Amino acid sequence: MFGNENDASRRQFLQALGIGVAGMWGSELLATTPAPLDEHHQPTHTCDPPAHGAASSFIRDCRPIRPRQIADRLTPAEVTQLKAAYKAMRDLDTSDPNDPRGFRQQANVHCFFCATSDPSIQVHGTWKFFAWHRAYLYFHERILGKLIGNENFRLPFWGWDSTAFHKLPVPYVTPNDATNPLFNPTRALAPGTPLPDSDVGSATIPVIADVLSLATFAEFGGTASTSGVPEGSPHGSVHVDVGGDMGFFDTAGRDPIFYQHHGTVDKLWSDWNRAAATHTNPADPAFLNLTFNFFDENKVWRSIKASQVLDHENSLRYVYEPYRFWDIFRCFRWRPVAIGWRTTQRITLPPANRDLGLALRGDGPVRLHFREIQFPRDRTAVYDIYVSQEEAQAARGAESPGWLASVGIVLNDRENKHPVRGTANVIASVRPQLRARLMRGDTLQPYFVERSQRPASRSALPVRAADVFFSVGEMDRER
Amino acid sequence: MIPGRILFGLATACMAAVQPGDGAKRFQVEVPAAVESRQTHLLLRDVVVPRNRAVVLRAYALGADSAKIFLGTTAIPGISREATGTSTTALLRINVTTGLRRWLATSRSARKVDVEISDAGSGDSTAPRSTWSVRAVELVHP
Repeated sequence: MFGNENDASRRQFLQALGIGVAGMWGSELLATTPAPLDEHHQPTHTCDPPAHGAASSFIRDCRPIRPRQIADRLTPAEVTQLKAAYKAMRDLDTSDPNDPRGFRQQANVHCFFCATSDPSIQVHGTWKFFAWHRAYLYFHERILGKLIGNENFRLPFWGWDSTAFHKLPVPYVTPNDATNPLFNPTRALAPGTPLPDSDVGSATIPVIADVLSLATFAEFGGTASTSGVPEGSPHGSVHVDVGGDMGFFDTAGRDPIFYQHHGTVDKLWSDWNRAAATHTNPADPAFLNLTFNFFDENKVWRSIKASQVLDHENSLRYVYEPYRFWDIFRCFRWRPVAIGWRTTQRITLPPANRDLGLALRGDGPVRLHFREIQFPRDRTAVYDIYVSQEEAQAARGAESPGWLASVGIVLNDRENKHPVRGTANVIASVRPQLRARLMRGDTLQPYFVERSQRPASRSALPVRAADVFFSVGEMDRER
Repeated sequence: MIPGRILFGLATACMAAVQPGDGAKRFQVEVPAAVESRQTHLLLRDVVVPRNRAVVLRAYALGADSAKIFLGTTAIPGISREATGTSTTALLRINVTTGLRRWLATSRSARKVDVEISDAGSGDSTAPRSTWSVRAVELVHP
C-alpha cells in the first residue's frame, strides 16, 4: 500500500480541496495559476519506508512512566545522553542506511506521510494530525532509548508554550556546528533569537491560552476533513520560523529540533485534554480506529491505532509532569473503581470491591476523581473541596484532614460574559486520614467553598459532578 | 465540509476590497453578533500557496485610526524545496477571540471589520515573499 499513488482517490482529494473553484474574489494567484495541480502532485523524491512484512500489532508497553522534560532544563548528564542517542541514530545512516532506526530513515517517515497528496497517507490537515505525530514521536523515542540501552529515556520537548523557552534550546545550538548531533545547518532562526510573540504568545498575546480554550476537538484537533487551530499556528508557524529543513514537510524530520517541537505540540494536546472536562477526544470509531504503521526499536513493523495513543500516561508511558515516586515501577497503571455516585450523591467505600479495600489498607496510591464538577463561572476564584459541609464551612485549608483538593477557575474576560456554570475534572490523592475514614465505613458528602470568602459570608455548596470514582494504582502482570 | 453548528453561527462572507501593495490582502468582514461573549474564529477558505515555499499568514484588524490590531497567525509549511505548482488548503482556522475584542473596544458600533492578511515570510529574511491567495474570509462563532 505504501508508495503507490491511487489516481482515483487523488482526484477525489483534489476535488475535495476545492481545486478548480472559481476565484470569485479575484486574488492574484488564482488568476495566474499556471497549470492544474494534478500535474504537480508527484512526490519530488522517494522517501518510502524500507521493505517490511505485515505489520504486527502494538504490544502493551510496561516501561516505567517517565516525564518528558523541557530541553533547556536537562542536566548535563541528560544532555550528554540525548546527544549520544542522536549520534547513535546518525551513525546508522552510514553503517546501515537501510536500518529503519537511522536518523535519515526516521526523517523519511515524516517525508513519506506528509509530503504527499494521497489522502490515505497524508497525516496533516485532518484529525490524524495529533494522533499520528504522537505515535511517531513515541516510536522515535523508543528507538533512541534502545540505541543507548536506556528504556527510561524520554524525549525532551522545546517548551515554547512557556514564554521562558522561546529560543532554540541550548543543547541544540551548543556547539552550533556539525560536531553536535542535535545541530542542523539550515535553520533560519539564529541561536538566541526568540520565536515571534505573534506565533507562540506573550503577556499580551495569549496564543497558548486561546488554543487551550478551544471548545471542541473539531476546533482543536480537526475533523476527518479539516485541521484544527493549532495545526496552523503555533505548530505550522514554528516550523516556518525555524526555517530551513523545518520549513518543508519532506525535510522537517532532518532537524532534531523537529522532535522537540512536536513534543511541545503533543503537550498542547495533553494540556487541552486536561483544561476542561468537556475537552474530550473524538469517540467516533472512524477516528479511534485510525491505524498508523511505524518501525519500532527492534526494527519490527508495528501498527498502532489512534485509540491506543490517547492515554499517553498509561499506554505510552510518559507524562508532561514532575516525576512521581510510583512511576519507577514497571507496568504501573491506574485502575478506575466506580462507587455508584449517580445514585447516592455520597462517597462510600463500595463494600464489594476487595481491591479498593486492600489498596486503602495498604500503601498503594489511591485517587479520588470528580468528573465534570460544577463551579460558578462568574468570577475568577479558587475553590477548596472538603469531605463534608462542616469541614468546608470551617475551611481549614490543605492541612486539614477533611480537605480534598483545590481548583482555580480563571476567567479570561473581566466583563463576566461567561456562562454562569462550568465544569472541571478534579483528582485528589486519598491521604491517610481519609483512608481511615473510608475504612471505618464513613459516608462522605463533599462540599466546596471559595477560598477567599470571609467566615461570615462563607457559603459551602454541595459538589455536583457527573461522576465520582476512585482509581487504584497497581502493578499489572507483564506479558 | 464545515460542521452545521459552525454554519449556524456563520457571519456572512466577505470580499477582498482593497489590496495593499506589499502582497497583503484586505477583506471587509461582517462582525458576528456575540464577539464579546463567545469565541470567534477567522476562517480562511481555499488558501492557495506555492508547494515550494513555507508561508506564515498573520491577520490584523484595522482600527478606526487605521492602527493594526493583531488577530492571530496560521501557517503552512512547504511540501518540498523541489516541488512545483501550488497546493490548496480548503480551510484554515484562527482563534481571534482576544484580538477581535481588542478591536471592538475601539470600534464599538462597527458592524464590519477590515481584516488584513499578510505573509510574514518563511524565517529566511532573504527569501522573497510568497504569492498566495485566499478565496474567502469569514468570522464565525464556532
